[in-house]
Amino acid sequence: MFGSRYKEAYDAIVPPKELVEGMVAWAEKNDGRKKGIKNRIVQKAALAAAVAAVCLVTAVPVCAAHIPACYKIVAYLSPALADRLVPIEKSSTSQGITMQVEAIHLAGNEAEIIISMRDADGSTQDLVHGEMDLFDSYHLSDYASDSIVGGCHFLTYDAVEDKAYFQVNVQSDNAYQPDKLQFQVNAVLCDKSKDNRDVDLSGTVRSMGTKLEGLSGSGGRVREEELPDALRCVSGTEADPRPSAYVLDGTKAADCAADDFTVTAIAYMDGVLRVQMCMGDNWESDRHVELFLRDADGNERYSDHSVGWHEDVGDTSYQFYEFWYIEEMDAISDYSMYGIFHNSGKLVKGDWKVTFRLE
Amino acid sequence: MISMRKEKTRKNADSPYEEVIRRNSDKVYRLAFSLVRTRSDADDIYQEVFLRYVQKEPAFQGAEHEKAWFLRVTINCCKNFWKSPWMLRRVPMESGEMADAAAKKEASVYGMDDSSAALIDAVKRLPVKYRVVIHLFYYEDLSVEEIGKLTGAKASTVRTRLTRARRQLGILLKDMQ
Repeated sequence: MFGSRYKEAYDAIVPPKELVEGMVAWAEKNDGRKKGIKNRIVQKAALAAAVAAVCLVTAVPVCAAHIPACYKIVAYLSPALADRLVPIEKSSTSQGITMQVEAIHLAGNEAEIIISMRDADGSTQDLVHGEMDLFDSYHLSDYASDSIVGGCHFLTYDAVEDKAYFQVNVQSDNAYQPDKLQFQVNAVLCDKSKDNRDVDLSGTVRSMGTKLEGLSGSGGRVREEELPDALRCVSGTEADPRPSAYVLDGTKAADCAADDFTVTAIAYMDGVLRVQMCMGDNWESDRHVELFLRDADGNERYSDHSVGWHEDVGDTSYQFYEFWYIEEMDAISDYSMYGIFHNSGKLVKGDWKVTFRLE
Repeated sequence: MISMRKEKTRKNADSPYEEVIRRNSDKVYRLAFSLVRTRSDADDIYQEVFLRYVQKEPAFQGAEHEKAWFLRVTINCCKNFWKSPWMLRRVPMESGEMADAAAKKEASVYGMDDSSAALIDAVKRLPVKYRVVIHLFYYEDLSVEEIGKLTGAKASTVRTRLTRARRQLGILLKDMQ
């Protein structure tokens, strides 16, 4: 089906008649390789002379035109940042991927760095072909101090250069020494993708058992003290200082996919819609979801609060989230839900290290 | 049209080039267009490929060999084109009104319907390595192994690229609807 559609579309692409006739005429006129080659040599010599002349006249503008590709990308996204950057263009290769520190802006104890990742020359692994993530494994050091906080933002994937660009912002306790800097990355997550999927609310139950789970995190726009009593966290103990919460006792971890999303429970109880989801084993991945509740009028909103925890089955650690929507719902059928599901592929662990100095 | 071509071929029987050029013109141009994405750049690649053919005068050992030679040389010429200083300094046209207008103009030049124009537009948005495998697989009917030989990639890599290309195309075409 697709093949025939593709063929049909490309059947329309034909060379212009004059191009074909011109090529045929040229081949006949040159009557074979010798004359053709001779002409080409003459043409090339003439062209080289012309280029040399142009270069002599326009040497300065041409040199000025040597702007690294990353500048075009950064300038498009943030002209102000592009103005601040100093080019570095130093690279390091590991595990079939080449990391290049493209440019940096250093100001005291803060730095903004533009880096790129591409498949190493000769590599056939095809690891770089879209959105990626540095998996929080980057840091900038000057040997005396190291970055303590930071953030990484995927800028774009440039298909022509086959490069993925990132902007990394880091901050250290002390001012960085510009004459001895090292930027390092230890892992990259390939194949980041996202897709929209509907979450079926038709099976929502009005009653379900709960279980107490030690939380790995919680948060939301509604603060914990504003939550209904049934949803309040239970303080940790001396033995286990993690706070706990009563979450739905839904599908068991052992029955969930380790490498995909599983909706494990949906219940509407005490004025709260609770949607529980398992992300599978997330230690070497970055699966997460943004769930939106849509009412009868088409208004959409994110959850009021969510909690997260892990459940281990053998060597596999399943990550769970439960999203809470405080809503007076007369009829569940008036509502619908969809999610933006963020998934990722292979985690590549490596040692990408670039040492440089700023003059 | 066909009879005219035959006539011309007979008339120029002493020129071995014409027949080969005419036989491979569409194939070379389509692949070049698929890879470099604009008609003007495809024109340049087309000329470069047949220039090389006339200069080198390769001795083809059959139709398959001839086809493979032209496809490989077209891919190589496209690679050189991307590495050229001109290309490295060229700023791509951002998606927007200008890009849409250019795509519409191109579709009208070739007399395409909306569905074909949308498909070609989606293919153009794929990374180069995906465009190569998609075109060779779906238009030239080459096997994964043959594409591997032409592009210097392992068959498994070609398979992976085909899968990813199809997936990306699916998303792009869905977004465009």
